[in-house]
Order: sequence, then C-alpha cells, then structure tokens
Amino acid sequence: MKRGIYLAAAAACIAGIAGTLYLIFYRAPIDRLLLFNQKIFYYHVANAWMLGAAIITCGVSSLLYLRTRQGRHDDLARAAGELAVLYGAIVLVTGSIWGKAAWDIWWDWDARLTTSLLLWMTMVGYVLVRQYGGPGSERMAAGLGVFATVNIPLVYFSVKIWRTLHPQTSVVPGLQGSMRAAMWSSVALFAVLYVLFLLARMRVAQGERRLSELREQALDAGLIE
Amino acid sequence: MPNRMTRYARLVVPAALALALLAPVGLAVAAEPYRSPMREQCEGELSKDKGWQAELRQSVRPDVHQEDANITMRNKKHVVMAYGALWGLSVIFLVLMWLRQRRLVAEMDRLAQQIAKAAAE
Repeated sequence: MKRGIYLAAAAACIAGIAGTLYLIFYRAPIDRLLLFNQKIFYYHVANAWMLGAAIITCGVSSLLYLRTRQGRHDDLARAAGELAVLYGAIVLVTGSIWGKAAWDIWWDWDARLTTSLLLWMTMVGYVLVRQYGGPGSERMAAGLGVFATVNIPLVYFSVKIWRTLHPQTSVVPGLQGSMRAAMWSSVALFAVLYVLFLLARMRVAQGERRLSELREQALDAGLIE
Repeated sequence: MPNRMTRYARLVVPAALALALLAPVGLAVAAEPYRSPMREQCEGELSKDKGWQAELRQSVRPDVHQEDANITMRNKKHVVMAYGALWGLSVIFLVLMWLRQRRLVAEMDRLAQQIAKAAAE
C-alpha cells in the first residue's frame, strides 16, 4: 500500500517536472531584460523557498525535541537538516550560474548571497555535528537548527536592509500571466518533492535509530564488542 | 669549487630574468596585427576619406549588433548548466540515500539474525 503511494507520487512528480518545464520553456515569455537566462529563476526561487521550509522544519522539530526528548522529532529534524544542505547547495549553485549570466560574475559578497552562504554553512555544521558529534550531539545539533531558523528573516530581509545586486522580494508578487503560472507550478512541484524526500529521509533516520537499538541488544548479548 | 646546485642556479636565475624581461616584448610582437602593403594602403586611404570611414563603420555596426543580440538571445549555456546542476545534485542525494538505506537494512538483518540465534542457543 505504502509502496503504491510512493510510486503514484513519483509518477505525479515526473508528470509535474514535464509540466513545469513545458510552462517555463514554451508558455512563459522571454524576459525583456534577462532574456533566456531568466528561465533559471523559476526553479531557483522554488528551491530557495524549499530551503526555508527545510530549515524551519528542522528548527521547529529541534525545539520540540529539546522540550520533549522524543526520537521522532529528532528524526524529522535530522531529515530536514540534510535536505536543507541539499537545497542550499542547489540555490547557491543555480544562483551563481545565474549571476554569471546576468552580472557576468560567479560570486559577489553581496548581502543576500553572503547571508545565504552563512545559513547554508550553519546547516552543513548541523549535519557534521550529527554525523561525527558522538553521543549527545543531537542536543547540540538541535541548538544549531534553532539558530539557523532564527537567521531566516535576516536572509529574507537582507535585500531590503542593504543595497544589493540581488533582485528584491517584490519580483514574485509582480509576475503576470504565464510567468506566474510557471512560477507557482514550480513551487508546487518542489513542495511535493520536498515532502517525498523528507519522508524517504525520515525512513532512513528511523532505520538508523532501530539499528542503534539492535546494536545495544547485541552488545548486551555479548555478540559484538 | 661550487657545488652542483650553485652551478644550476647560475644558469637558471639569469635565464629566468631574461625570460621575464623578454616576455612583454614577445607578447607585444604576438599582439601586433598582420601587416601587408595592401593593408597599409587601405588604412592610408581610410584615414584620408572620413566619409568612407563612417560609411564602412555604419555598414558593419548593425551586423555586429545583430550578431551579439543573437548570441545573447540564444545563450542557453547557463540555463542548461543551472538545470543540470539542480537535477544532478538531487539525483546524487537520492542515490546516496538509497545506498545508505540498503546498507542499513543489510546491517539490521545481520544483527537481528545474530540476536535471534543467540536467543535460541
């Protein structure tokens, strides 16, 4: 039953990818200023929002874990933390390529770019602490997750607070017609993909928890050292 | 008697200095445009006839402009790079997660069997 749901969701995602690509490349017009390179925008922004969603999920679950010490909150935080690293990498790489196309530079120490990089590095730190921190690292990592969540408003408002090269937050609400359709369908697609990735990664986290329990049993039984 | 390293240094240091001094000259020679009597004659005529010069420039400009516009309009390189990077990173993440899951299941099965065997004994 669960496998059927996963397969149906995967099929829907493949259809979604084809649909969004059609809307982006065949329906949405070429932008007057950025020309064909503006096509990067639809997936770049959608992934940036998923980065925000992953960090918020990680932060809220971490907070719940610190309060309740329930393993399921920790599993969710860990899964969302790794996804935040994935989405952060996607956003930084696609943004850098777009920067090269639009501004003719791969990178600039612009406020939005720098705060995004710092946020991503915080999440990389979270994953490293979880991976190599040893016993008790989940609490330390939970603190990092909460810290990263608090930083999200700084990244979002950085384009308003400082003078930056990066486009303002008013771009998405200002989209019209088929550009708007392409944008929101991309957001919907990546939101579904995010939930699926999160569920799949949570299964791995649950498996890891079960494995450590089994290891403890085996240790008690003297089967392993 | 100077040792081998000192002898090498005596050869290498002046050679490096000579190369550093001659490099700009070499670059300047390489950057110089192709010279020929026909070209010189043509440049001479062009410098005399300002009207012809302007006419020639005007006839070339739209073509150059159009060529640049076409390159910019058809520049798909960055879009392909961005989409490729996005899906590439996602696929790498999925494959790594799948491998980790497989490893976990195998390890759990092995441990569960060991525990069951120990309990039976």
